Amino acid sequence: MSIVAVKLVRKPKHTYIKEKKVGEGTYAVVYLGKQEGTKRDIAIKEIKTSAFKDGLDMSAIREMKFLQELKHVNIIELVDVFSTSDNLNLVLEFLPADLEMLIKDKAVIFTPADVKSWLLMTLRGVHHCHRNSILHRDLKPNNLLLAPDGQLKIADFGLARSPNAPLDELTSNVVTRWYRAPELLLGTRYYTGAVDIWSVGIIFAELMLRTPYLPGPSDAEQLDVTFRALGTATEDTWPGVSSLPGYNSLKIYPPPSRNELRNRFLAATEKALDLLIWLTTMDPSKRFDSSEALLSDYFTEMPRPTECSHLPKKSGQVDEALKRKREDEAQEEAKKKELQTAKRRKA
Amino acid sequence: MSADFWNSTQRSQWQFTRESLAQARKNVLAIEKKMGERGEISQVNIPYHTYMRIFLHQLILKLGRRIAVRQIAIATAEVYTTRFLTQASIKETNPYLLVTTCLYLACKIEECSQHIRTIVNEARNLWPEYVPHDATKVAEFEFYLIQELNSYMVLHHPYRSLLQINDVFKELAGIRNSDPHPEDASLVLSPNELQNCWSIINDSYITDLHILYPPHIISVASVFMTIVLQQSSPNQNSSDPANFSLGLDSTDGSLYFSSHSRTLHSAIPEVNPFTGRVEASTVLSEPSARITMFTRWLGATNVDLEEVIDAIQEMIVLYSMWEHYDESQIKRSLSVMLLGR
Repeated sequence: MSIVAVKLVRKPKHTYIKEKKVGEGTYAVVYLGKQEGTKRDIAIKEIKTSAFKDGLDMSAIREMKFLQELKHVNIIELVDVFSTSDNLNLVLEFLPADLEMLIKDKAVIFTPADVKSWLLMTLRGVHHCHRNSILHRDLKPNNLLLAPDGQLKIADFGLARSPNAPLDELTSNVVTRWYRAPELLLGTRYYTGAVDIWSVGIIFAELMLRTPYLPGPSDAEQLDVTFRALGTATEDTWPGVSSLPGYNSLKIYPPPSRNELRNRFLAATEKALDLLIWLTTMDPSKRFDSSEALLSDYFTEMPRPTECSHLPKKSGQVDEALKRKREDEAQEEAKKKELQTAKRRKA
Repeated sequence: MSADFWNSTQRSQWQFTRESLAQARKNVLAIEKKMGERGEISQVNIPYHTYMRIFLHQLILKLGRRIAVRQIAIATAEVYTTRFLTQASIKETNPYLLVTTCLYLACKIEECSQHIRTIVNEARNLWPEYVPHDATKVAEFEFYLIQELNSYMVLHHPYRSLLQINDVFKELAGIRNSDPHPEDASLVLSPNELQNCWSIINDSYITDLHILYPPHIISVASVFMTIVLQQSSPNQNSSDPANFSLGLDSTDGSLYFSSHSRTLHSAIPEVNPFTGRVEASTVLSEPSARITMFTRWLGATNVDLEEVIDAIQEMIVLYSMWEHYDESQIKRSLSVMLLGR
């Protein structure tokens, strides 16, 4: 029996030089390199064909699918895709740092204007995703990368999804725990971009606090941590909440008073608090959407957001940091892969 | 899917003009010839013509129905097949493996992913001699496919614009979500008409329309064909050969036109579709009033009418060729190419 297969090698738009291996995940090896000719710094995610006896991993597919469509200054750019004889290469723009590194780097001081600038760039990126009806579903400081010129870029679209219809059932098992919206924690199967907005709100709080806002120690306890900080959702504040699958035997915490919030976020202006409250509103239908958030008074009051070229940068050695980040990514990917396989098995 | 077709890669990267498409096909044929001379591919003549495309369409439909995937995944798989074959010759591939892989990837992209084993097993049930048992063959082909698609995979389909158009019709008729009464000279499509449009769109995947025009052009063409061509037959009996009419072919589920384009020409001029001007004194029968309404509506939109006409022509040519479609020749030559017998 002769089964004819194709062997075609398409020439990439440019040639690329892999200079240095910086990390290895379950399905990909990441290299830093340069685009020949332009000398542009790039990162290459090399996807091993041989690793996919069962077809290409969904997160790799989603990354390609969405990044090819989404071109925006606050979303990581997929520069090119090319293949060699036995692997597929995603050429991404080079982004040496991420927001998590900066938040943890206590040698770096954040001014309120810096926080505003990062939040604004995040919301612009999220807005672009949402107006293209794409949910990111994994926003967290670690996925907000920083370009050498200070621009913030949303990265990692491995969990992203565009709902086909408003009534499409989706898995609630998305978003890294600490940034997971209450409707997801309660196990809803129908959700919207509001889940991303919640994550943005928690990131906003983290930028002001310099420490994670709702660090639940386990999936089971995350809901309790969330309600303890922001008040237990009830039928009064969120009609319909009691019919969600996870809504049972909950401790009832009162919502924090304005003063309590003021004490929690000492540096925040009243307008900053307003925005934070709207971003972390329990009821997803009342929560701000990306347009409302972008139009909030917080962004028009003084101080102006810092010019991105003036934003603080990581203090330590870049290479070290990069290495750590890639290791984290590799771990993340391993986790995600597990999740995918589990899901596939379930399906 | 990204919500905006105009900024999509479907438009910026994968929309051909008739000329650039002809050029791409010429290149493929040139490669095919070279490979033939070097003896790298079979000498069997496997033209990529309308019949072959009907054949591929039916392969995808068959497999899609077996694994019961959503129409949208089938549609996406069909466009992948068409795109792939603008870059590679059908003789370089195993068409059975090609459609299996296209459907496998399309399911992932349209978020109704199927395990690779499921698809391979179902494909093997249908075409045991052509689809290898080894699922890695499909996994491997997936890479080639993504490569040939240049990793642009998101597609916008006419189904959604069709529903949007009908929503506009409903708004025009001043009714929302309530029972439509098409007999009130409203443009709202009846369930039957909607089904007709839907079937025309399904069939349009056999053609190049999806790599030539934006999806709404194809929806408008389907609505035009349904409203104008169907209504211009005074008696809607699809078996009446004297009239140009639409019907569902019970044997293969495809839509067919039971008459020749000659009849079509006699049906359209009375309408003068693209001016929409009708003398006020003219007494119109109800169907032509609806056609007038439709053509007025169409004229007032910014829809590119040249493209719509071209799409309609393409579909009519397809339907008239379909009447003489015979798959036995194709099956024979594929068997010779792939199995040597």
